[in-house]
Amino acid sequence: MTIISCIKQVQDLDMVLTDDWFIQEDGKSIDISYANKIMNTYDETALELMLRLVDEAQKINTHVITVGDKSKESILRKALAVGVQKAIRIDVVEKAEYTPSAIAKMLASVIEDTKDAELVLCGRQADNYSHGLTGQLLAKELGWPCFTLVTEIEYKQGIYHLSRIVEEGIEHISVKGPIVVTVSQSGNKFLRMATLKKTMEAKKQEIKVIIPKESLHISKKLMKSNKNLLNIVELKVNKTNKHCIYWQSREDMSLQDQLQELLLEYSKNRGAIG
Amino acid sequence: MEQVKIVEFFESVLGKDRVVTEVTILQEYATDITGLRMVQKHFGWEPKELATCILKIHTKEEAIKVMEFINKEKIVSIPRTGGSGVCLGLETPEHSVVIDLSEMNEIIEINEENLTVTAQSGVPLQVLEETLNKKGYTTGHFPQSLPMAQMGGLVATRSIGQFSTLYGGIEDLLVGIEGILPSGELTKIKNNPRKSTGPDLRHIWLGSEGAFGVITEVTVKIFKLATERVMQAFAIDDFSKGLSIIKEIVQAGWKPAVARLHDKTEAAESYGPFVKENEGIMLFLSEGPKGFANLEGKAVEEVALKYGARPLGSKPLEIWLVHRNDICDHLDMYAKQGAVADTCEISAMWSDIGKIYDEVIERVKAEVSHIVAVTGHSSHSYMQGTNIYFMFGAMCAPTIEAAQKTYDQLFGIIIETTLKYNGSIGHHHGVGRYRTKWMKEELGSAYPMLTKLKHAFDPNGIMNQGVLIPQD
Repeated sequence: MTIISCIKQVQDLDMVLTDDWFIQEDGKSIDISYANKIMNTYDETALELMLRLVDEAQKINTHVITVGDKSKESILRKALAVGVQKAIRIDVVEKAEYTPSAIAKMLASVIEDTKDAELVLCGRQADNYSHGLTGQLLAKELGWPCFTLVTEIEYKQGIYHLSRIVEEGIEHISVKGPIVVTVSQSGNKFLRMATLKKTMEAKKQEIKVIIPKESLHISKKLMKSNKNLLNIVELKVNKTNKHCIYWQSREDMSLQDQLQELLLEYSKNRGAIG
Repeated sequence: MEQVKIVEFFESVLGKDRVVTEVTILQEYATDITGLRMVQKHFGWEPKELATCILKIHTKEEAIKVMEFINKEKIVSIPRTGGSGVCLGLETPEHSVVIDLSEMNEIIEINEENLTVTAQSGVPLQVLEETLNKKGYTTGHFPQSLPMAQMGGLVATRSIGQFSTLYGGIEDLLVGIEGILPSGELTKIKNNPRKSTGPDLRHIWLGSEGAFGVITEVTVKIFKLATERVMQAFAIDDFSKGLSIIKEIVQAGWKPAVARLHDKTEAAESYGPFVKENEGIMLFLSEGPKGFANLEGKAVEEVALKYGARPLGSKPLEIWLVHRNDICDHLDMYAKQGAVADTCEISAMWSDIGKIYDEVIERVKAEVSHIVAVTGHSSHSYMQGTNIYFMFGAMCAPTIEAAQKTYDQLFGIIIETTLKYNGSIGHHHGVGRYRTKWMKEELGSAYPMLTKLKHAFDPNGIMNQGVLIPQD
């Protein structure tokens, strides 16, 4: 059985200075070129979930795939250093962003060729454009069921037990593979650290490079379609409306009742509960 | 004396609400934010020993009464302000009491003629800095502990800030100080620009770590906010070359407020897009009155270029200014992932510092089997030498004991190597309880001076017992 984690390199937006959030002259971009390149944080969580499955059952092959040129290999090497067995890069020559649809097609073509692939994990969205589409489009391409916003995965006797966030709380699903799962963050699911020794070893490991098949019909126009992917009209900072209430202890009402009263009042003002 | 009676006495002095005996709070006060404890907590560590109570002191009169009582009853006491220590200096032995001065937090006087500010021990540095900024002044003191640290603790641990090359460490900033000895005597060292009246007694309090008494009030220098600032960064292909650049700049008499050299690992981690493989990064910030920053900036640039450093503009400095204290979050993240991580800052003369850096990095990589990363940077420089701030992270088995072993191994390598080259085992974090085991070697033949001082000021050995001097 093989589990595949799809990962993406993004820029560390935490590094971007407040004053630098302005639109460049092209009207379409923000200069974040100085921000470090890191693995997308949701993908890191997905990768960690994959590794935890392996911790529990040794007979699982693990692969990571990314789409990009050679400069994107650092995240693959990071994955190898934390214990992933095989790293694949779908080679696209030009430095360009791709539509989620194009990426899904490229990923699907590689996954289809991996005969015993049962589970594919993707981060719920990427930190840069936050489309949140690739995982679901990938499932469509593969013709597999897709479960979104998953935070826990257990594998027991051929069944995947998933926990996913829904409006009402946490939903538990048991399902057989093959499936695609998009992963959301939850407490203490940080990607494990690689020792320096493993990091050095990973630098020498082979990365399989695959050229996208022509049969995919991903035209150059589509692959370079980032120019049409977005058009920034305006950037503004969302001001959070916070205020603080100091509770006075009241003889006639417990803190619990006070909280309930406050929440009811709040929901009335908002026009809805929850 | 029975614990109940002790608490009763304190309640009679402070009132019931300022004598805290709630176990959860005692547990919080049972340690500091040392990296070792952060990871050990993750593995289930809980303090075995708790103080009897925490005393929330509001006035010096209360402090005097408390000190007289604890001295008479020989009660071990842990003075505390912001709680940002990183050397286990705030751990509470059983039956001890915590003398918490954090609520003595009044800014007493901002003197714009003499350029001083007098503040009580518990004034948070951040509050003081913001208050001064509104009037056009600065403390010039920016340690990483800034959001937590308070004035008394900063003096007691010989703190230093990130702009130290220009403004100096806390020892350069302290003008006058008031404290209470265990005997209950209130002592005040008056404010003077300089004097020649015997030993400088301020230095008894500087770095005292609560071992000689409690600090109640400090007067420190303030500075007019700089009118101009010049920021520039350079990539450098060799760490020793970077050290030479800083040495040449400071020995020529320049004092760029910030003069930093980060090794290649730190450069790649924090400034990846700016540097090439194996390049370190240097950050310089000059500030002062009109004309000064530009002049100094040009001198810095000239020296850097002479050594082949590659100019990177000011953006890395802009990033550093925003992210300079992120290490605290990173250490927490490491701990959550079960990694032993911390920092260790040492200093040495220019002739030796490069050897210490090279040897520590080499030894840690060779000897610590599950090392994740070991890095270093120079961030506080002087005409005679500089510091190296080592940062390390290593995986270990998920047990309290394994974490301790790995931590001891890493610290041991850094400190052994430092002592081998006659460096100092603590540049600005202090000694606490953790580094006492190396204090005899650190001080050499001067060690009896420290023990005699301790005995003279605290004959009963009750003040923060276990810091500075190893317990037999």
